[in-house]
Amino acid sequence: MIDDHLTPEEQKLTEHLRAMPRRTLRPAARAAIREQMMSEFRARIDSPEWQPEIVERRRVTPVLLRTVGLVATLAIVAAVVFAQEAIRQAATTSTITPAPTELQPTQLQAITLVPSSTTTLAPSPENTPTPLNQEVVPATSVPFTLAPSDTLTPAPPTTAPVVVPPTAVDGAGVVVVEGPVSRIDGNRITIYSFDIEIAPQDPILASLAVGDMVHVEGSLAPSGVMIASTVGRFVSAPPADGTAGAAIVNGRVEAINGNQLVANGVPVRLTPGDPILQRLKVGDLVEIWGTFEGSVLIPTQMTISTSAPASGNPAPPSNNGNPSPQGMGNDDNNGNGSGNGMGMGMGDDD
Amino acid sequence: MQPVPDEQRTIARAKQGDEEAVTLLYERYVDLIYAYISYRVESAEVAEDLTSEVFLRMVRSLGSYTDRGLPFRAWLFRIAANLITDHYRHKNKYPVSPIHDHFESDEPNPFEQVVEDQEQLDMQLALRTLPTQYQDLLLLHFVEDLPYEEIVKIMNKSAAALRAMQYRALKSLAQQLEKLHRSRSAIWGDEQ
Repeated sequence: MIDDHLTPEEQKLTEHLRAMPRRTLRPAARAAIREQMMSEFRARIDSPEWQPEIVERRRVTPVLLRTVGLVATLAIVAAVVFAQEAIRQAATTSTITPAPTELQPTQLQAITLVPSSTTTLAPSPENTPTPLNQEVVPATSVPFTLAPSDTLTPAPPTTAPVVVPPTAVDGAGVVVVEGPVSRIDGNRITIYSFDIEIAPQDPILASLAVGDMVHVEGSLAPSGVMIASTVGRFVSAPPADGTAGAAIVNGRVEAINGNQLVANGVPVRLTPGDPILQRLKVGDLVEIWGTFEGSVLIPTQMTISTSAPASGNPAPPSNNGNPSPQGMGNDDNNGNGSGNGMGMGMGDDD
Repeated sequence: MQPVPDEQRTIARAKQGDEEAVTLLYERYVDLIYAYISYRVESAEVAEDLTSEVFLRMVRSLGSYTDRGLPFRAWLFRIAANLITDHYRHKNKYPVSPIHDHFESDEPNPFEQVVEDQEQLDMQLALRTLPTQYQDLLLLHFVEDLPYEEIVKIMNKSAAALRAMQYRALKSLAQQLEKLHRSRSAIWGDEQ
């Protein structure tokens, strides 16, 4: 060892070093530092950044996640190019100006990344694609929607409408557009500047009206017209008990830590000791209504469905009497006042 | 000091939000870290502040801490070393003023220990004139009694580099002590 080769002088020197008096921390300082540290610790574990399980998962499968992320990024690049072309075509007949930074919560606009049945891409922090330019609504592959809480069918925005380009596309080419219907012409509707063709036999056409807030999934035809495969209407009322229901998250529980969980990439904080925590487990499908405190969703309602519905949509909430997004269009649950036909980013529930 | 056998379990519990585990880690290492920092800075107050910052950073980073073969205390020492560097970078200098008087002494009657105190003071002064890496090496190994395998990881040096560094550090320390002794003899000689 290194110390075996010390000269006598060096040995003496090291003995002096070892004999140096040991500094001791004053008891008061020791207690104060500990208290300060514990305060910081408590604040940290309550924050959404503290997600040890997710960190652990990142460590286990970094290569797979990088691969998935790369594929998703490439898909988004292609989609953005395609969408920009569609916007250019639409702009020739419209003066609507893209202004995604002006999004207001009350305008009910969202872009969601919708995993298809042909891809393993799941909305989680690991594989959330990075936004590529300003026109892409931020990397919220998280399929939650900010909804107006004061009306069932919000009127079109009075301010300059915002074009939400159909940016979120997965490997299967699924495009999602959400917003108010500004025009209906037969089986073709317009949301902002997008012409969307709905199957003529789709029952939603019978009830759809200008001003309805809808969520459409489909694909873009070379002509720039979007061919809808799923159409759903938002019913964005607050829960009947009067609590603010400004946001909805549908999806799988990805992590649980104490009274905090992550559903579809969205941090959610429940009241400590909430009985639902006892039966909640990772992988459960949940629908959560609530309000955001910063980036954390504080639920006002929450329902669990342990099995995936056949349609790929979350199970309807069990709290009858509280409005929730109504099933429309291709859904089988029309008329029951619950469930939804909006996909909400959980296309594959495998 | 050997790594604590159940340390990984304690760290895992702390990562899950267990306050008791965090307290355990704190109690286990706070004295080591404080002692190391206090030899390197100018006052007990600064040493306390930096020690506090080490443990604040520990809890801030605990969620993402992963065991990569580096003992937990080595991770803490590395944080402490970086903080000391930042501290002096901020002050833009490495003070060489005596630090001894600012620290509490365990001696019941310091006046009986004049000679020993003088030697200790010289040692501290000499130490603090050395390059920071020399100080780190000598303090971590000879004062904190850390094994070389751990110091290699804290200082991010190879064993061979550490061996050479120790040789130079001890030589420099001896030279600095000699200078101090010479200057002290000259002063006392003039006065007498």
